[in-house]
Amino acid sequence: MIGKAREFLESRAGLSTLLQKLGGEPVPRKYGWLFTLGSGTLFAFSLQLMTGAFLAMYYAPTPDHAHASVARIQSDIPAGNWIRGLHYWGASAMVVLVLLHLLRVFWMGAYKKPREMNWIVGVALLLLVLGFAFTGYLLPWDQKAYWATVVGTRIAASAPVFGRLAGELLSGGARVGAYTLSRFYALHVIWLPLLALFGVAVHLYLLRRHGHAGSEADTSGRVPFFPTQMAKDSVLALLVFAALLSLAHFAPPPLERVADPTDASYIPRPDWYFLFLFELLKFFKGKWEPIGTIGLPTLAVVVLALLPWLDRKPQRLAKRRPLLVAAGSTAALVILALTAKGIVEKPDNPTAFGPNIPPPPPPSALAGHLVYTRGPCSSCHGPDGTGVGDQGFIPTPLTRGPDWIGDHIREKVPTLRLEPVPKASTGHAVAGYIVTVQEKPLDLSAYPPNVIQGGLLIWRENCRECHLIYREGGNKGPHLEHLLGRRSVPWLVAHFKDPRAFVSSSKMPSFSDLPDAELRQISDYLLSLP
Amino acid sequence: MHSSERPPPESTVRRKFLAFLVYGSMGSIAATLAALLAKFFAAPLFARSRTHSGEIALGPLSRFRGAKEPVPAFYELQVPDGYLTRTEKGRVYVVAKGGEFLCLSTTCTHLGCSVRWDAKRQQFLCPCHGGVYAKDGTVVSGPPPRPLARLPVKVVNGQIKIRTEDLA
Repeated sequence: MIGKAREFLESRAGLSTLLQKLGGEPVPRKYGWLFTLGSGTLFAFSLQLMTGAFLAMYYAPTPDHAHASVARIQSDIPAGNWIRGLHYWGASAMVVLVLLHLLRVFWMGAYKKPREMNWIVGVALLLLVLGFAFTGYLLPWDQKAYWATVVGTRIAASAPVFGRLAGELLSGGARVGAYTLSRFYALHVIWLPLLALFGVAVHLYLLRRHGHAGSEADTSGRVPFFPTQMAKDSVLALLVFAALLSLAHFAPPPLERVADPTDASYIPRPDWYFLFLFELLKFFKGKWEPIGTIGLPTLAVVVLALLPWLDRKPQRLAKRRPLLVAAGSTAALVILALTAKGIVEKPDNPTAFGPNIPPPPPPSALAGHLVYTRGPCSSCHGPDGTGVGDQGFIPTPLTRGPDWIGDHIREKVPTLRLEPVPKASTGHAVAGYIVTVQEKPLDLSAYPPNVIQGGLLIWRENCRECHLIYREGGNKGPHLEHLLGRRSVPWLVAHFKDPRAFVSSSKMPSFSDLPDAELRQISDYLLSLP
Repeated sequence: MHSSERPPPESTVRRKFLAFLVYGSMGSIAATLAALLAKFFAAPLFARSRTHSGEIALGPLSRFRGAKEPVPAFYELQVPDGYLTRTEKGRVYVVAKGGEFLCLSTTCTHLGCSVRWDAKRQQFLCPCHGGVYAKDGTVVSGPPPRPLARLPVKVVNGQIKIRTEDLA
């Protein structure tokens, strides 16, 4: 049966002949492991195509929904964490492999006549890889995505002459917004893959046309591509795949808070493969800045592309081209050092809300503050319990209980509407507020609005019935502290909807009737707790 | 192409081992990836229905009581849909029958088009493939395999109500 099928395919399509021809391609006998880097890049690229094509089925390229759809992929959709993890880490793998491949070709002088053309195609493919990276990380529409793209498009706009035009064309408008996202999406999933597939085809065609360059030092002859070299290529692919699976599992890709153009506390940093450009930028101040952002990178690409013509002597051995190898190694080391500097100096955004932000007040204080500010309380009682108004919050410390305070409020202002603070809990809320402000005045402008809202929702949903937050609440459930680093917003949101899916013995009811936006605000509050 | 001289073949055992490495590595990568992608792709099959349970008021009894013809009633439903919650607008017919009320879905049981009441013919007509239903939803002619779905009706405080889970 299989024999017959093979016969048919051979007679109609010449498949066996083709495979034999491809597998019989003579390749160098020595240094085979060094020659796996190109095929390793191709493997990573194929993996990106496969995972990307499936991620696109669940992703929505609009500012309103991008973040939520990625959160769903990461935490709700079966195997979504694996597919997104592979795609996220696969991007890094591509950059690493393509750079190592480039260094190998440079070291062995394989770009020389007659292979100049293939070197140029290779440089173009490197730029495409960086283009994939740049367009890809806007897509989750989280803080990092948004700010990295703002900086990236501003850099384009700062270029002389056509800069502004280029910047607006890139972002599809004067600002990073809806059209930026759909533009980047179209580039990322249609144009760049088409160009890259074409580039890879030409790259492979030219490789076959001139044969493998090998090393000048290797005089031991050649072997067929299959199976010797292909076995090495396959083993590398397997190692890369295993590494990516482990990263997807043990270091799941981050998803920061949804992009927030008003957040001044966020410290934007590009992903590691653009860090060297970021660090380079710091050396050029003021009007010299475009040299660092555009001049030097452009020059580097031009020099790289013209390398075969700058170095036209036929010697390929590294030791016979000391000057060039020294220059190339220096460039590589500088990039490496700048990257390392960027990684070492990378500031944490530990609470996901930027440094220097104090832990948020307890939910009761937030709810009480709402009651105090929305009601006419300040006409009698001083602001924030400091006692400046004609009655202050007297006496200090508090002698009235929560029930008395609740009755007092209902008596004085029976019509007060306090959504989302339940009416029955106003006394407890205000009591909590007074206790908090007696310790320290409350300045809510220090906190992002979603955190404050999250705290209010925690009060409304009565989480204190079972959970302890700061010193308030019961202990039927776990204390809600130290969640940052252990839990993520998507995890918490999914857990609120179906606690038993995460902790099988959980007695917590499902909160799936709350809108996702509210569940995310609650998560934001919890993750900002110390 | 450039290769006229073929290099000599290597020993058979070594060749076999290397070929095993090739097929083994490629096979295990392909199998793992295919399994993950298949699970990811098939996720909608395993998704639980996420319609919130609840009741929808279609209107006061007086609107429907004693009506000679089916009365259309409109409703809005918050439906969790993928990464968002959508407001789904829908329509049902309430048919008064003695003291009872019949609530009929407008979804044609053939291929899901929306049927409408034709007052002249006193029948429900499907605009797509000519399905015809009687006033009580039973099939008169055409391709529909089943009568129009009947949604259980409750009368609470003078309001006619249906359950959201019956609409899913």
